Amino acid sequence: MESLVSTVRSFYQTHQAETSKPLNYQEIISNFNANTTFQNETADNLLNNLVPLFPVPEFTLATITILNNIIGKVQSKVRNLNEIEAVSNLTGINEQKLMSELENCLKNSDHKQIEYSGDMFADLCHFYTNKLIHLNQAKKGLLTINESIRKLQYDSHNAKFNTNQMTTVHSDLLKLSLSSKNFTLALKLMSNEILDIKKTSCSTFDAKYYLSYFYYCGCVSASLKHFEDSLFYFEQVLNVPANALSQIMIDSYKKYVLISLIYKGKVLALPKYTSRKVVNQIKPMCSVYHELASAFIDYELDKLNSLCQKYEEMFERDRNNGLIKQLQNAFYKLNIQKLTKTFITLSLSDIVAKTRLNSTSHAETLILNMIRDGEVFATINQKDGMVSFHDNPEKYDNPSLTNQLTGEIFGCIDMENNIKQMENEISTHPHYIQKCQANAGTGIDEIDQLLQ
Amino acid sequence: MHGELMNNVIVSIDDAEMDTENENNLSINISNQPSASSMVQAYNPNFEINNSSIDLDMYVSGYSGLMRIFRLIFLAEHCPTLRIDTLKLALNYVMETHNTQLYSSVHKQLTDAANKSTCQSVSIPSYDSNWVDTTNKKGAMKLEKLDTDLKSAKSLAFKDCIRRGQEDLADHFLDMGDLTNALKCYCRSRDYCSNNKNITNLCLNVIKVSVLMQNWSNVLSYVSKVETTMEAAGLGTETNKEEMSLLCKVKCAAGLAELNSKRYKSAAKCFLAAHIDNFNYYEIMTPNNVATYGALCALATYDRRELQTHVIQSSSFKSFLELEPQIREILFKFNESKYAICLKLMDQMKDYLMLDMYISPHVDTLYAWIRQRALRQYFSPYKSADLRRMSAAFNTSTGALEEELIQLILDGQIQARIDSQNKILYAKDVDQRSFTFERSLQMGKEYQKRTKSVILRSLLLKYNISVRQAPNQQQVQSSDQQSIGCK
Repeated sequence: MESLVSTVRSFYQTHQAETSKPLNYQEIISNFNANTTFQNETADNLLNNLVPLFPVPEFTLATITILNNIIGKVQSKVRNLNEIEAVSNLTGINEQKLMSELENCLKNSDHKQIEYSGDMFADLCHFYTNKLIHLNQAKKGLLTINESIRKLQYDSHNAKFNTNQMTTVHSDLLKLSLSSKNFTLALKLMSNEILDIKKTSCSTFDAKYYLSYFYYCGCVSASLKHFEDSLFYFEQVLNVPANALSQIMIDSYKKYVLISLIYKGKVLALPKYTSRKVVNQIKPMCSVYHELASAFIDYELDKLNSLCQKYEEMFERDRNNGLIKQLQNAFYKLNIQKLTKTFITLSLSDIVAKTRLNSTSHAETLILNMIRDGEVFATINQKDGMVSFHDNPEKYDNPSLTNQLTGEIFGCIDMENNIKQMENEISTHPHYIQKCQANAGTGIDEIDQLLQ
Repeated sequence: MHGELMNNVIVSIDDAEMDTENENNLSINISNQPSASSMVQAYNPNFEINNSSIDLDMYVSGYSGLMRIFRLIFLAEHCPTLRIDTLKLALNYVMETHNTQLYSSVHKQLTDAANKSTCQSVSIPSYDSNWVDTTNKKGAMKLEKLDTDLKSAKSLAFKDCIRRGQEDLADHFLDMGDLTNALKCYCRSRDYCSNNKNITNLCLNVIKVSVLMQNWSNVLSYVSKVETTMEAAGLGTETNKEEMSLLCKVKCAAGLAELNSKRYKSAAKCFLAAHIDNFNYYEIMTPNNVATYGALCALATYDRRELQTHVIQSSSFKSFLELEPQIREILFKFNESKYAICLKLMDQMKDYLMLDMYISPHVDTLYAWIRQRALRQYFSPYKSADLRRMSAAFNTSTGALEEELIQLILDGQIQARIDSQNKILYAKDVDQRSFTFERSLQMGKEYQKRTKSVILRSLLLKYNISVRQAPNQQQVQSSDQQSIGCK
């Protein structure tokens, strides 16, 4: 133990001695991994005796490695557990102390050192997140994880934080915010365009994190009823190149079907470039949802309701019961919106008959609510029970629209710039140049190459 | 082995019906996007029509060969009042062939029908097992003879003889009702065709068998083969009688295939190209059929001008229409915008059409399309139309008309809105400016979404991230996302 501490310190000190040079973290981390002394110690021992000896931020790397070792020792080794179940039972350790040490480490670590141990740091984040969710204290971790993401995004080449970079910890923040129903930080994170992915020699990036990030994005947007965004995010999950189906994709597809029914009244088709495998295999796995969709589209209210009841347990298990309830409401709303397209006036009793509502009073309150929410433009004449449907009063001639339009245009311009930048990166990439030069004399156009 | 194959004849009829049923189910499932057919009920292959005024002898005299028997069986299945008569007739015709399998099955149906009928006076011919045996023997003997003929022809390597041998064999298979083998033999003779005439003849034979087997894609591919052959030989341009007849046959077969593939517009086009002067295709259809199929498909899919130039004013099709005065009347009333009479006539004809084995599955769709077209045509010159008067013109109640109009408006076929209080249909006047703003905002959003997708996708490719099968895990990655759902 003592010897370990001294070796670790010596790693740092030898480098600090040569103050002219910055620390060579790469070397430290490889030395660390070679040193196996603390693998024989118990987790509790490590936590109580070793961790306090290395204060962060100076000894960030040391702390990260030790904490990782502790977690590795205490985590349940049973296979086939999901992440949260895996952290629910920690053996032989003081949980509270571990969590506070973790928090301290995540909060105060040095981002320059983190860059060399991205994976280990991310693992700490995942563990911390899952444990907090398990303890139902998700709110506590929001700021910490947000800060951790920023630290992970540090890029030493440009010596700045690349906020447009996606890390594996992104999904953790969304998980926490969903669990705590606090979406401020999540929305801020989601509003950052993703223009890069953190994938280097010391931070791997598994497709799982990409999938779950967009899955959670979809869930957050759906919770806030931003259905259009939500559809976009779920679509991203389904569009990942795939030669196997992931459970995340299946769950996304289920939500995708429900939300597109609620929002558009029909199941939107997936883009053409969605992997064949996904298109072919996902439908049979979500047959109940398709049954639901066809009942919804064919206006079979009874069938819809009976399906909802019949598969209630399954929807509960898929955590889609909230969406199912919204779907049942949307049935009436969409029907009323359809009526506005076809009618100028219609009596309340006719509306009841055409939308299969229970009573005129129910229809009236529903329409009143919809008028209030701007979902339909109508007036109700209580004298003769007539509803007059109007055109959209938006005449597109007010300053706020101009403002919105300008905003959108600038958004598009930004996007265009991003694309240009990516193109520049490609066209200045050594591989690309090499290839172009190889073909320079042969008459093969670069466009030809792309076409091939 | 042949016995097995012969079963196929009977089975294939059922299969074909199953298929159409399945297709109908599918089309209902697919109808996510509003389509003109969304109002049409699924076709039920087990319908029955009781009072039909078909004169059997007249009906049958138009057809020949296997098609005649098939049509009779179809009639028997769907028209209980005529069942026994038709089956008896069918039995007689079957006795003229070597098709013992079909004989047994028809006879069985006949006995069933006779047992079910309450009337005692029905006398049915008893099962002629003697005939079955001798015919089976005769068939087998002829088969053997033809087979040896073919073999000897092959040993002589005399092309024309081999071809004829194959054809004879195929004809015999057809006679025995073994369609699969008939098709095989016809196709085999292809290698021994020496001139264009042989080839077209071969194609015609294949087309015939394919029609009987309801293999429509095969029909279409051989139709195009005939057409290219004739084109290459420069035939079909002269007014040679034989060639005209050939062309006519091909067009009719193609029309039938298109009709059954639910491409009604191209079906109409094919039928309209047929000429009555050289019509000689009774083994498949009658000129009356051509008139009915062609006119209905054209009514359902042609716009007013096309109808005028290609149907009403077409001299060749006129003579077909003369054969079916009722269809002609429907066509002319439609063109004169007398929709009430037109629709009434159509309703009167419906039972008759339902008993036609080829158009039967499409009657509902075609009728719905014709009706929608009529509604659209009626409203097209108006800015506002009184629903009461409109319903009078269409022979229906305002309520029912409203329902139909709603469907049309939702499908985007009529640009209008209904004032239900005053029962007036108003043409919608679109504010182009607002519409443009709305569209451009939408397009902008769409562009942003697409661009984002493109960026993300290129990132995935750049870093080579994809969902792969885990080497030693189950196919489905277990993950934790189920533990948190959205509320």
